Amino acid sequence: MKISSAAIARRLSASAFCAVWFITAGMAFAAEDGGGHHADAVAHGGEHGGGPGLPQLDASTFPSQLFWLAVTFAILYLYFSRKALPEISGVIENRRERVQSDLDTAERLRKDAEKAQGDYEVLLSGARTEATSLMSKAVNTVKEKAEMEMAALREKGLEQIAALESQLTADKKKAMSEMDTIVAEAASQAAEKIIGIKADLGTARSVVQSLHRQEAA
Amino acid sequence: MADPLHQFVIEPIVPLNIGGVDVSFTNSSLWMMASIGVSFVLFNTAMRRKALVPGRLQVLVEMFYQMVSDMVKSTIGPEGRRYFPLIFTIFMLVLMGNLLGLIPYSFTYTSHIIVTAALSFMIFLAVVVIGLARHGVHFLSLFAPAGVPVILYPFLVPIEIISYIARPITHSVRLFANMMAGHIMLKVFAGFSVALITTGAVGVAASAVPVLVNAALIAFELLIALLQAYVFAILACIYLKDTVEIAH
Repeated sequence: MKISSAAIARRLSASAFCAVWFITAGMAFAAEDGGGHHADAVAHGGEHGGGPGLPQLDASTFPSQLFWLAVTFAILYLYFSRKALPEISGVIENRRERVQSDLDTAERLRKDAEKAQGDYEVLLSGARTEATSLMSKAVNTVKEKAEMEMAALREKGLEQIAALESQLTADKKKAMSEMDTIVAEAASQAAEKIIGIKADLGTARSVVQSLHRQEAA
Repeated sequence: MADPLHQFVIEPIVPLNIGGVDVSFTNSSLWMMASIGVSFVLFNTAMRRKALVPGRLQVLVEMFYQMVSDMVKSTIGPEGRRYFPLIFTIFMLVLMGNLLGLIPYSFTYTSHIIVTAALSFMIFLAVVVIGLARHGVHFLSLFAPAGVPVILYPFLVPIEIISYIARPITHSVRLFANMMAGHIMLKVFAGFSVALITTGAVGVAASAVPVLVNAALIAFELLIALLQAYVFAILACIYLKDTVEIAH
């Protein structure tokens, strides 16, 4: 526990005040005693005739005490029951109600906040799933499209390859058939140059073709 | 040494006689009026603002209210609500009498047996009258505790009756004796210091000791004043409980 110096000072001054007050009261009792000394003696000598009885047992004072006690009690009872106590209970009740209503408001606000939080979370998770599904849909669409295009491209490529291959085969055939002629020409020209025989081109081609056949066989 | 009982002497201030009965306004009556005045000032000042967040005086007054209210509720029960103003008045009347009596030169009306007896017999009579009116003959079962063999009744019932009748006596004597004893003690120590002063220089110095003792006694008497007012009120509650329900 931490006590501030101001609090200590306040406590000290309160204690000092009490001490001074009590001591003053103590001295005042002594003064009262000293002052009343003579009157006391006179009173005892005169009134009570030196009787040592308790003043509380002096029955002659009873009616007066009872009367004024009844008056005091009646006044205090009326005052407390009609005014003071209803006022205090009103204030206390008022405070209790106020505190209760504040607590109720706080509770309501807390519930509202919790509900808002719940709504927000539901919304958020909904948005998240929606976003995920949209995303996957988009990805799928793109993928499908890409595959379709890819397939189209492949088909086209294959067609082109096929076209090229047939072209190539045709060219090759053509080139081969021309080759025979070239070979025959070259052979006839070579025969003419080497041995001086002017070979017939048609004969040369048939020779080449027969060679071809031999080779193929 | 001065008579320590002199402080209890009733002295008429305004002689008054109604129908041959002496009802003079005395020093006792004066301090009863003072207790009314202090109560008025205290409660009116404290409740002037009726603040939601109370100030010091309002806290004090509300503390008295809560204390007596809790006392009534816990000892009598929810039906004790109707006795609350009565108990509160008794508490404040006794408390004011005890506290105002601690002012030097004042008079302590609660140090008189007739005052405390009047209050306690008022409670006693109220209990008997309300109890008989509400419970009829069943109220008398207070004197015959349940679960006791009938053969013991000749012994037990008189004892119960005596202890029941002793209630207002102990109730009033407790407060009266506490107040009287405390004030006599204060007076005796005050008398010591006065007597010491008359014995010379050493006596004057020594007279400080009884004054210091008195200072401590006054602090103690403040506690007693509060405590006895509380005890008087709670006993009144306990006795009034018999009018609400009878345990056996």
